[in-house]
Amino acid sequence: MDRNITLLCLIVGMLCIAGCITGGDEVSVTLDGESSAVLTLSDIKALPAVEGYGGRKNSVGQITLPMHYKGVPVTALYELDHAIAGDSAFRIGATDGYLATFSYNQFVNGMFVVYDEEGNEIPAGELTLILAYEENGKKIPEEYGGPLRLAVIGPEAPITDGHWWIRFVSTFEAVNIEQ
Amino acid sequence: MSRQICCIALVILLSAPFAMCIGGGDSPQTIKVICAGSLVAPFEALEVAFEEIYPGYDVQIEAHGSIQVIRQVTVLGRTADVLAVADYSLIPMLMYGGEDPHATWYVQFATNKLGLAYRPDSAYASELSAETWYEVLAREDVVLGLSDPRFDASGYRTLMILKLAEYLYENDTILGAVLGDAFSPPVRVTEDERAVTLTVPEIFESSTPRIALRGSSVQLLSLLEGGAIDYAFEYENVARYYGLSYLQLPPSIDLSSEDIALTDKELLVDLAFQRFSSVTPLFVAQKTYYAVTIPRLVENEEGALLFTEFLLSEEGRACMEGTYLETLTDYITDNPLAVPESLLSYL
Repeated sequence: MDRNITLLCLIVGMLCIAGCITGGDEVSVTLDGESSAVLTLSDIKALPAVEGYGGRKNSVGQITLPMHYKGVPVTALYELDHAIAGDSAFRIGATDGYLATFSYNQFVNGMFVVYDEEGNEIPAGELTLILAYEENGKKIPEEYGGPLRLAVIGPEAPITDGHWWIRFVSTFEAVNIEQ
Repeated sequence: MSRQICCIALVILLSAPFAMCIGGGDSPQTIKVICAGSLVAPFEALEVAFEEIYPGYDVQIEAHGSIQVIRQVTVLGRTADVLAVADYSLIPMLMYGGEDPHATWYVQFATNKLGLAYRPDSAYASELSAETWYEVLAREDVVLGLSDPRFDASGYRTLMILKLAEYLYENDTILGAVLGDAFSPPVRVTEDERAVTLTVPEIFESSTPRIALRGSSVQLLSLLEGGAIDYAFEYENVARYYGLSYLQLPPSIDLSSEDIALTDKELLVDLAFQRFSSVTPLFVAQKTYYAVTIPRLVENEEGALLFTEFLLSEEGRACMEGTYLETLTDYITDNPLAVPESLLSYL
């Protein structure tokens, strides 16, 4: 299977930060590849939103306690019923040059390791990976990774690994992974 | 009289800022130190001793993976007074470029080794030795903790150890036997006349309970202490600091020696994707050296120099050794012309 078949590529333009700083509705999102489009922050906010609490733990165990996030499930950015196969993976990039790849299980099923507030692993409940645009009821400031960042939320206020909480999200790309 | 009072008040007002600048105020000067995760305990010991000697300073330590340590300054635009990483090569790779480099020198000050941390009641612990460890790890009822090579230096170094073991023990099944079929796609091994390369796939998820993959080696500690896993590859100083049982591996494979088990070519770990746009994800198996530098855009240069001097001093060395970190007998710099003069006497 062609490893590099791009199912869908979603690019948040470089205006993200400018949009945040000016407070304007200037954030652009570009869908590229076989299917492409441009979305503004308003377009993203017009999608059905979800909200909930989530916290994160960094690589040396320091914990940021759960805060309230509002955003769009990453799966809502795709037409799941026909576009995403089980061997798909999702590259999500940021304007600061960071890139992480999510498996189908993480992206679609929200499978992440969950910790309690002391940092001990606990059984994972229901988890959702979202593209967040609000933190504690306000737009996400640049110093906290806004205007768009990933967050893992759930009804039990899960704490998950911080390296999945990508800041300054700028690109989404779905790819097939060779087995 | 009133004129005299006014003059005195004016003098006091004008003097106050100068008094604060020279550290005579109540609030201590901050020294921001960002370091690798495996340096947390050694640097906390340094912090305590330093602040006793210099009560006018407040050392604030923040820890990340080594690449992230540097990115705080070079990409995220934060300021730090001292940076210390677990892989010295990252400093020139990520900080020296451009017309205004973020740093121009480093000093190697410590080394480390990776070995197997375990509990006395870990499965088959009584059979564990430097000759049998890889057979124990390959058993179906042994749970091994691995840190993710995509996120953690100890993760890709663990893969190096498993591959180097094949050369040391002349057994080319060790890497495959230990990882089993946990990863799909698997770690791919290729070889040419110059190097043996382990390629880590973009998606690296364990599909078996026999292997617990976590984002960093630090996260494996609680799993090990709680009995969820039997063994984990950990830095020696971390394992000893946490009071875990520890099997030291032969120096030709534990990345504590210049002489590794693969002698005629390099051993590389290649990540199949570029996690950081500024980092070429290709890592060479070599001796582990920790290094420190002071970034060009430092906020508290005097404090940074004072802390780094203390780190390199005999007292600093003792603090770090007290947390089981192996400091170097002779500190090494790549650029003595750029190292601040006050540090040269320690080299």
